Amino acid sequence: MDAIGERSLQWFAAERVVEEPDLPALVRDYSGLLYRVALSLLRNRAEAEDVLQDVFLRVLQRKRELAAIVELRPWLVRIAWNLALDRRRRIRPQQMDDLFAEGLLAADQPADQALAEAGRIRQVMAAIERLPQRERQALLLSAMDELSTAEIGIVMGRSESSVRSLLFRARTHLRQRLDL
Amino acid sequence: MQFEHNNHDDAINKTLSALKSAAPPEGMEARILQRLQQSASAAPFLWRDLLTGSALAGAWWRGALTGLAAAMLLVGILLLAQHGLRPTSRHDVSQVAATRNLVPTPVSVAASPGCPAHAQVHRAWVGSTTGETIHARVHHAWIGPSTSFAPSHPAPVLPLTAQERALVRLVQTVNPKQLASFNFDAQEKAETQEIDDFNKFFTPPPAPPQPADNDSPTNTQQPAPQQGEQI
Repeated sequence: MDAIGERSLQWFAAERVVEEPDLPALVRDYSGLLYRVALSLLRNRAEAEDVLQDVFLRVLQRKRELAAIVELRPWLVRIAWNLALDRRRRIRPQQMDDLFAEGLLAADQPADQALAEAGRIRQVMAAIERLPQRERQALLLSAMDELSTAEIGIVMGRSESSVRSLLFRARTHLRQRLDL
Repeated sequence: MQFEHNNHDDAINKTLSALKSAAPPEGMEARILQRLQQSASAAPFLWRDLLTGSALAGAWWRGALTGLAAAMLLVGILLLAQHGLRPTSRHDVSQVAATRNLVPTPVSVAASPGCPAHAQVHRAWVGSTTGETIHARVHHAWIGPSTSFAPSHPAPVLPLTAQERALVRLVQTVNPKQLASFNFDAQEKAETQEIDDFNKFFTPPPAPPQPADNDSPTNTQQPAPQQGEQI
């Protein structure tokens, strides 16, 4: 009986090694990227951080499925994007940080130049807001260096060529809107 | 125009690069990890976690549960083996069948290998129509594995009743059209009508009236011959 118990313990221990993810390492590796993804959609730092916590809570809930996930980064980005979209529906546009644009600029710029650039960024962000949803998603995800076009395609559930086409159309529409 | 486009592209690129370079707030990772730890400690109790957990108590439980399961499996196998080897002393067979006309018929059991000679069937009620229950009681029958898995034999075909035999004869002799329009009352009426017609046809004509005066010219006329007489 002892031998059986010992073997079963070994078996459970082996299974545990395979299943258990290293959550601190995941947080360390992906928190920056996921934060920027959420921030690009929400334009509010506190809300983006909340979304990030929700993302890792989801990961914790599904930690046994992590071993079976092949494309971990697109999977995490998709979770972050969906949760940010969900949170965005609940917050008002006024809750989006007014100082967000200023916060994006470098601190060593002259005040007048920084003010002008902040206005310009705010204008571009407003134009991005008016883009169709798919084009906006492709454009904002393309801003993340860590994501390749193929990975953006996996996140969006589209082919690579479709993502390129969406990016081209997004930029064209953005230029048209900034002309007005 | 080109200048404006370049300006727009510059603005778009600056915005996107600003988004790209946005730094997360300080201490964010620590806060996330702390929240995860809180959630993990407050997670609901799951049997699966108990089975796969790393705590010492969990290990104890896992060993005990595994041993218990193995012991139960062993006992089950032993009981099953004992049950399969023990002969059955008495076996009642209850059978619900569709029957109306119950005819007591002795049922003969085909001799099968593994069935001892003393196994006998006392009596069985066998019927052919619906609505009633029949019980066949088999005493001292050896129901061993070989008997249980032996192919079942259908009950012997019962002899036909007198009505059934008449019906079969009718079906074999009468053509289908007549059979389809077969009706006892109509048939009886038709036969009665036929007999009446026959009798009516062969009924002798009424006797001619006796003439009072033989010289009368009207008496010289003979009655018209009946149709039947011509034939």
